[in-house]
Formats: sequence, structure tokens, C-alpha cells
Amino acid sequence: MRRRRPGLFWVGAGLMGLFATIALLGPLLAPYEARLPVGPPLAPPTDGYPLGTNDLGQDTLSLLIYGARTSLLVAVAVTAVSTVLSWGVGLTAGFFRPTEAPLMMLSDLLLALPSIPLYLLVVTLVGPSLQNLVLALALLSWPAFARIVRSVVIEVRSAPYVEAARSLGGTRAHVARRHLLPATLDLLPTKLILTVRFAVFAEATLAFLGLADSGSVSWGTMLSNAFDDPLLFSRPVWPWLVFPPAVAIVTLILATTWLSTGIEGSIGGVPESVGAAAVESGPHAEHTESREGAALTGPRRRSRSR
Amino acid sequence: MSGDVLRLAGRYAVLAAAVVLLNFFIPRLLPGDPLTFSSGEGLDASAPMSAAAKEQLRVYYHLDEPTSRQLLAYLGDLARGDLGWSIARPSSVGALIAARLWWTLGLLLVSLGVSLVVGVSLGLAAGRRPGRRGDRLLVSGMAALAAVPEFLVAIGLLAVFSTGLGWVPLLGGQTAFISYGGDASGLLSRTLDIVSRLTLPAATLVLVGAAGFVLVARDAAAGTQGAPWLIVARAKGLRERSIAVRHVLPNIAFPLTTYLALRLGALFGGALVVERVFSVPGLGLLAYQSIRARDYPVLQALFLLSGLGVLVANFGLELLYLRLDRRRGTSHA
Amino acid sequence: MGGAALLSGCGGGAPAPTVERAPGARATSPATTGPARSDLIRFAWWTDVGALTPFQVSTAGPGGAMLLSLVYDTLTWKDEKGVVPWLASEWTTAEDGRSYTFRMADGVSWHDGEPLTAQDAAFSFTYYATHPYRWMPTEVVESAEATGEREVRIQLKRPYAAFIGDIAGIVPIIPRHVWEDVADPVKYSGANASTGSGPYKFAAHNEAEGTYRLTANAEYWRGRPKVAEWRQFAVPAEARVAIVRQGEADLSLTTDASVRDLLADDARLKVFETAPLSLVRLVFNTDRPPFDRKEVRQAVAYALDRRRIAETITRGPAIVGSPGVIPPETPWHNPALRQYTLDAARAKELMGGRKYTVKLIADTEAREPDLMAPMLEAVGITLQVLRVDPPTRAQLLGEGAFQMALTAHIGVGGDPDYLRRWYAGEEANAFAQGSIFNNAEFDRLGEEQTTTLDPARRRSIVFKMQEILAEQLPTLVLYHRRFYWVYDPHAFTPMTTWGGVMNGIPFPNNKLALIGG
Repeated sequence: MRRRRPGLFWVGAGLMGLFATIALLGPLLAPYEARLPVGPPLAPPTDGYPLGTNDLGQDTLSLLIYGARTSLLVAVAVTAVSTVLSWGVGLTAGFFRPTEAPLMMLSDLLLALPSIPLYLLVVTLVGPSLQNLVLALALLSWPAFARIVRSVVIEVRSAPYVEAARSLGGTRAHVARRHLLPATLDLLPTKLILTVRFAVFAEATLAFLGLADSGSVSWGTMLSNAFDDPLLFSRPVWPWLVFPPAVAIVTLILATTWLSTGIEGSIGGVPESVGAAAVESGPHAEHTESREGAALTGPRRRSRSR
Repeated sequence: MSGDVLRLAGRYAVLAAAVVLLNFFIPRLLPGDPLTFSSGEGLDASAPMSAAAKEQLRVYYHLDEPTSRQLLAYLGDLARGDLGWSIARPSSVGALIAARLWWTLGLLLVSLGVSLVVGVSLGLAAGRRPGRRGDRLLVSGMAALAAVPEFLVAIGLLAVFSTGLGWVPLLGGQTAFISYGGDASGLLSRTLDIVSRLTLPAATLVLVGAAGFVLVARDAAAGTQGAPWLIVARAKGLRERSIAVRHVLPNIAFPLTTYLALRLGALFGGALVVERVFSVPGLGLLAYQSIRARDYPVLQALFLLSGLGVLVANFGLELLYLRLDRRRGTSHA
Repeated sequence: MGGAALLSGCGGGAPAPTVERAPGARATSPATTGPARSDLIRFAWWTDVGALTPFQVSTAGPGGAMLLSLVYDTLTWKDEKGVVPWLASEWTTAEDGRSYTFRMADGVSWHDGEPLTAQDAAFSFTYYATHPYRWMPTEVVESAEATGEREVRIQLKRPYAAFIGDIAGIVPIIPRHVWEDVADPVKYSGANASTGSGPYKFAAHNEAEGTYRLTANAEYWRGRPKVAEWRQFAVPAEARVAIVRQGEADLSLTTDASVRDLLADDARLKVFETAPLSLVRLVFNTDRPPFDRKEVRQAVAYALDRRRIAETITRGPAIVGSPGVIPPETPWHNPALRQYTLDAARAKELMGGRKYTVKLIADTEAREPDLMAPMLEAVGITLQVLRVDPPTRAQLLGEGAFQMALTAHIGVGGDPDYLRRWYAGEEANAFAQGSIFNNAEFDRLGEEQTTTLDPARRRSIVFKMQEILAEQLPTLVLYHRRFYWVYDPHAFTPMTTWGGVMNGIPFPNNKLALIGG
């Protein structure tokens, strides 16, 4: 089967690569240590400060680079934890009958709850450290994928060739390894991209609201500090305070959108894939697939795989 | 038939019970009790708290009693509608919420309604001619819009329309203490005042929410393009609009209902952001302020109410879905 | 700048007014374009200030006390030049300074029509003994009784130099007929709870929106208020200037000096600048390590480039904090103190090679910690910043549950007795609490100045107290700052009060500016 990847996919991949590089090389690339006030406050772009400085005299470009590290670090961590968790739960539920009911009820419950108030309550209790943020976001995003994995496992489990393998004497472990795992692997890329997107959205919003770790440099806190200034829009430099982090956030998210077109939209025209990807990858997208699994027969899914 | 409904109701009853219990257990499941965990001892505080506040929490959580009695007390309080007392303000939690509930509900319902109508209309219009310029533009536009977090949209609108052009007042809510006459024109003035102040917050939510509706409607409309009955209808000379209303709309009811259910979960987050940026005196702003002040009774009540609220709304939607499904007979394409 | 100030505290007879003119305050002339408005003043503050009674008003900052001053009157008051008679038309002090006899003004009545008598004044002080006024403790008052038709005698436990300025000038006189049967004033919410004698009557309060409505008291004994209604509402910091510019409010403030340039060309609005009566300071918990050691506190002072911090944050000329706390440009300021100019080497020396990790409690929006962190890191102090909302910070300070805290507040330009009160744990302003300092000499001097009535002697004692503070540094003032009031001159004419309204509050809405229409 040939998968024709739309051009946008490569744009997205390229951008992600760029962000990842920036994040990895951060301190080497940044002209200054981001948290050090190094220049005159509220300066427009000049020699030494390519994007100007903020109200404390910290270099905007350096803040941007360090912010990329935070965003990507959180995104990767959340994705890793969430994927492992959901994959594990999905496999377990699909494979071991007795665990299916309780696990699915748990994921149902988590999906039914509005995530923000839950997050607020938890983070107020445990404190807004980076680690807690990652854990909380991972906990909010695992249920959806778990359902999908489980349903795939069930499908595959009852497939004829698996039955044949079992009757030929294959152990459960062997069956799992050779048949189930590969089947679920196909689903992984989508999950990864969607979760990265969700994490970036969530981290930026929470940082802006002041609910994330205020000790770390983040695009969201850059915007929050700018917005707290009562005279922000009267200062001529305000575009330099607002646009760099805003554009960074939007670009990273668009990159994930474009990446997802290449993964999902193997069939069908580009616009559809982009559209579908956009909708299903909104800030609270982790609920998408689950809703289908939960109660409805999944019209969305069907039309998507058309 | 009612077997389906009963099963659905049963499922939601279990979920509701789970929410109530979860609300009880969350602070107790996290390591340590709510007081020492959150406030540590003075210097070890991850979230420092005054002695008076700790004392109030002790009472609120009935911490001096065994867990089973705590649970009974909690359930009893809930049954009576007692949500406790706020730590940060001299008021009962119930009163705080009641004073702000309608702002948030009004804002959310209005934005949901508008984004539904606008989104579906745009989507249908585009879906009629899939692949054409307008359609591709719309889809790309919506994809781009969906990539912008709510708070950026909010700040953007604020910067352009309020601070910049000065078309709309800066703060949400209503002008303090304006006394309008009790008559119709007074009511009109008051309504206009509220509307002008809620325009930007609502617009933010609409922009953020509409993208999904547009795409759902568009996909569904595009999907029905080749359907035989549609060709027949067109051949019969029916006008496009009546075709849309009578034939296409019911078709998109399913995915729309699905998407609506999705949006509900996201609404509270949207309210939080929008009320913070525009200072609307609603539940979102209350949540935001309560986090700063570590006002647990308020946060627990908000979690409970929003959780139950979303469950109720989803239940309604799933009932609707059941009915639609039944009317169509077989499962749709 | 500030002229020499001859302060007369409380000699016998009418007080001698002082010469001090708060420098830097631009008194404004009425609008040159358009008529003055007389219907409404809308004031944007940052928060709800609680119910408007002396027992429930918020003490998180001066907003509550100031609003209360429009509804209630005090025995004495202050104008641009000093203390002036108010509810008391004149007073005498006993030889030993332990009692005051006030003669009450004629023709004063409460908002409900009842006449205000000496009984009310006596009752107020007696009631406050068991139910304190939240903004100013009256613990020094032993008894109060009406000694005639219009005379009230107040007996003190000891001579108290600050009595006329602080207590008589701040404590609201409350109606006996409302409060005499109220056992728990903190919970009392009767319809007449906010009955006062002031130029404005309480009309409405919406807690959710933090809004207040006061209507003019047309029969106010001092003159009819110029404006019919005073409205106050809560607006977050980032919107305050904008809503005045948009015309939604007539008066608000910022501490950002660049607002002067911003509004320089504005035809409609003006900026009123006050003396530097607000300050931003670090409070050290001297009971806990590492700040139980003077060397570490001094190291912090030498390590911080306070000039740069002040310039960056206020976006105006820096007024580096005086180590003796009392701000420059005020009458009690000691200019000859030991200074701590930036000297990282000296700081490291004082640290003696030790390294510490310290938790700093700060406001959620404070920017100073980000500037301070690298400066302190360079001398071996790693800062962990805990951000809490202002009321929580105030509570933590009040309980001493901290190592180092960053706070900002007013109330340092008035009578200097506050220095003693801070360290005696008697400070009412929640943002000024939390001062811990165990120094016998300082306490002794504090007690002494409070009973010293001779101005010159008192001054030298207060100067010495500042020297001790400068040497020991239980608190480090980062910088002093002015308030910049943005206002619409059609609606409001600001007024400078000598030493700040009441106990050093740099607000422009002294009720004297609001009456006489």
C-alpha cells in the first residue's frame, strides 16, 4: 500500500526537527542565559538583542529558545508517560479479560470529567512543579488511546489467523508479540502527534494563567508577563513582547497539525485530512477517539477512514 | 427501547456517583492529608498557608474524624446543598457560586449556540462544493484557527477591538450600579451594556469553537454529495436551501452531536481563560482567584459542579443520539 | 525639595501646623476644557475591601480604610499642611500628656439624622477597647468619658506622642445607638451597620464584583460634597490605566512612571504624582537561619543593585531604599545613615564562603525576584521563589511562617510610631506585618519615643532607631516609590495631604477635596 504523504507533512516534519534542534542545543544557541537581565528593559531589536528585551531587560530571543526547551520537554515527557500508560492499559484490558471492565470504567470516568477543574484541584493540592504538570497532563490524556488499543486488541485477538496460531500451540505471549503488538504499533504515530499537540496547547495555556511552574522559562509565561503590564499596548515595543512567543506557540502547533496529515490522511484529499486533523487535535482532543469507543458507533471514525 | 435508555441512565448514574466519590477522595488520596501535603511545615511548604486557613480546612474536611465518618459527613453536606465556606472570602461557597453562575452559563451557552449556527452554516455552504477554492480556503483557515490557543485569541481580540479601536469596553460583566428604569427602554439599555461587554469574550469562544463545527458540517455535507436521494431532490428542482435543511441537516446530526459532546468537556477551560483575560465575574474567574488563594472548598465545589454538569449535558446528548439513531433505523453512513 | 519640617506633635491648645509640603506633588488646576462633572466619581481599586464597617473592613492595603474615611469622621484630620480640627473643634492636653479633652463641633449628625454627641465619641473609644478597629489599634487608651454636653475626656495609659495624629486622626467615631447592643461587631450585618457621619453615605456593595456605591450626604456639617456619588470597583492591575483612558473610570493608579510620558499629550487626563510614600522591602525572619545572622542580611544588602531594580521596575528615577526605612522627602527621615551601596565583594566577604538556599515569598506578579535571583546567586544565595496571592502572603507574614518575604505597602510617611508597632507585633496593615526583630535597645528606644512629647527630643530618638535598623537590617527596603494617579480633572481634583492621609496613605481623595460644593 502506497502512502502518499502530502507536502504539508514535510513542512511539519521540518519544523518539528527545527524546534527539536533548538530545544536540544538551547544554551549553545541562545546569545544569553535567558533568565539573566542583560540589557536595557523594553528595548526594541538592536545590536546584541535581535528580538529586543522584555520589561526586566531579559533577551527575548534567549527567552524564546529556552521556552522551546520547556515546551518540548513537557511535550515529550507527557507523550512518553501517556503513551506507555495508555498502551499498557489498552493491551492489558484487551488481553486479560478480568481487567477489562474496571480499566475501561476508569478510563470512561476520566473521559467523562471536565479536565480543567480536575487539573486545577490537583495542581493546587500538589503544587505546580514541572514534574507535577507532566504527570497531571499525562493522566488527562491516557484514557482515549487506551480504549483504541483495547478495541484493536480485541479485534485482532479474535481474528482467524490468531486462532490458528493458538491452535497450533502458540503461547499467549508468542501470540501477543507476533500479532497483537504489530497491530497496535500502527496506531502509535497518531497518538504521539496528538499528545504532543495537546501538551503544547495545555502547557502554554497553563503557563499563561500562571498555573504552571513559574520557575521555568516558558512561552506562556512570557505572554503572561507581557499581559500583566498595565501599559503594554501603549508601548511602541509591544509587538516584540507579544508576537515572538505567540508565533512560536502557533507555529509549533501548526507543525504538529501538518505532521498529522501525513500520518492519518493516507487516503483522500489534503484538505480533508488537514481539516480532520485540525478538529480532532484541538486542545482537548484526547477525548476524541474515546467518545467513539464509549457509547456511540463511531461515525467520525468511519468517515475519516473513508 | 426503553431498555437502552435505562442502560444509559444507569451508566450515567454510576459516573455521577464516581464523580461525587472522586471529589471526596482526591485530596485524601494524594500523599499526606490536605493540610500537611499542601502546606508542609512552614518552610517546607510547597504551597504555604496561614494557620487560620488550615484550621478552616480541618473543619471543612472533618479531618479529626475517621474516614468513614468523613465520607458520611461529606455526603450529608452535599445532600443538604452545603458546599462549605470559602477560606479566602467571608462567604459560603454556595453563595459565591450562585452570584457568578449565570455569567458563565450565559456566556458559554450563547457562544456554543452561535458557534453551532455559524459553524454549521459555513460548513454546509462549503461542503456543497467540496474541493473548490472556497472550500479549501475555509478548511485551511479553520485548521489555522484551531492551532491558536484560546488565550492568544482572547488577547488578540482585546488588543484590536478594545485597547486598540476602543469599540468595546475593556471589562466583562456589567457597568457597576447603573440604574436603568424598570421599563422596556431601561431593560434594553441594560441588555446592551451586558452584550457589549460580553461581545469579546463570547467572540473568543465562538472563534475557538466554530472551527470544529465547520469541519464536521462540511465533511458531512461533502459526504452526502453523491447520495442518490440528493440527486433526485436536485432533479426535482428543489432549492438548495430547502435541500440543505430537510435532507442534509438530519444527516449531520450524528457527527454534530458527537462533536458537541466533545466541546462540553472543553468549555470550562475556555471559560477560565476568557474570564481571566476579560475580567468577567463568572465561575472561571472565581476558579482562577481560588487557585491563587488555595481556596480548596471553592475548587472542590467547582470540580463537583462542572463534573456533574458535563455529565448531565452528555447524558442529554446521548439520549438525543439514541433517538436519532432509532429514527434512522439502521446505522448511517 | 522638602522644606525643613517643624513638627509639633501635640502641644497644648491648637496644634501648630507644620511647614512641610509634600514635594514632587503636582497640585492640579481644574480642567481647562469642559465643565466640571458633579454627578459621579468612579474609582478603580484592585480588590474588594470588605464590608464598610470599622470591624469588617479589609486591612489588606489602605483601600478599605480610605473608603471608610468617606463614610465616617474622626476627631482630627489632616490637610496639606498638617493636623486640623475635625469632629473636635479644639482640644487640650494635660501636663503629663496622659489625657486629652476634646470639644466636639456643633451641628453634626449621623446619616440617620441622630445628632452626634460627646457620648458617641466616648462610646467609640470604650467600645474599641473590647472590639478593636482593624486599621489602628487603640490599646493605649485607658478610658473615655463625656465630661459635658460637648466635651469628651480621653485618658491614656501612658503619654503617647502619636495620639493626635494617629489615633484621634484615624479612628472613626461610631454611633452609640447602633453599636451599643451589638455583642459581635465582626458578624453584624444589620442595615444600619455602615451609619457614619461622613460626607458620603453607604448605599450598596456587591461582593462578587467588588463594587461599592456611596451617595453624597447633602447635610454634611463641613460642607456639601461636590459630587453626588462615589463609586468604587475592583479592576486587575493590567486594566486600571486603560479603563480610565477608556472613560470607564475617573481615577486610578499605577506605580509605573512611564505613564507620565504616555499621558503627556492626552487632552483629557492628567497624572498626579505623590511623594514616595510607598515602599518595596524584603522582610527577614530573624528568628530562623540564615537570616538570624546580621552578616547574611547585610550581605544581601550589598549584593543587590537596588538602584537598577528600582529603575527597571518603576521605569522612572530610582529612589533607593533608606536602610532606616523612613523614606526621604518626609519629616522624620534620617539622612545620615550607613548606606549599602552595591558591593558584591563585600557581600561575599560577609557571607564567609557559606552558601544558602532561601525561600522567598512573593506576590504572584512581582518582578523583583527575577532581578534579585542572579544578584544573590553571585554571592552564594540561591533563591527559591514561592508565589502566593497578596492575602495569603499577608497571613504568612502575620504568622512568621517564612524565611524571607517581599512585600510592598504604604503607611511609612506618617507618624513614626509605626516603627515601634511593626516590631511589637501591633501593625494592622496586613502587608506590613511579619517584622521580627529582637533588639533590646531598639525596643527601649521605641517605648521611649512613644511617650516623649518634646518634638526635638523625640526626633533624636527616632533618628537613633533608624541607625539601629540600618545597622541590623531586620528589613531591607529595596526602593521607595511614588503613586501615579491617573484621573479625569472634570470629575475630580486631587489633593496632597501632609504626610499622606491618616497614617501615610498617598491617596489624593482626602475628603477635604471632595466637599465645599
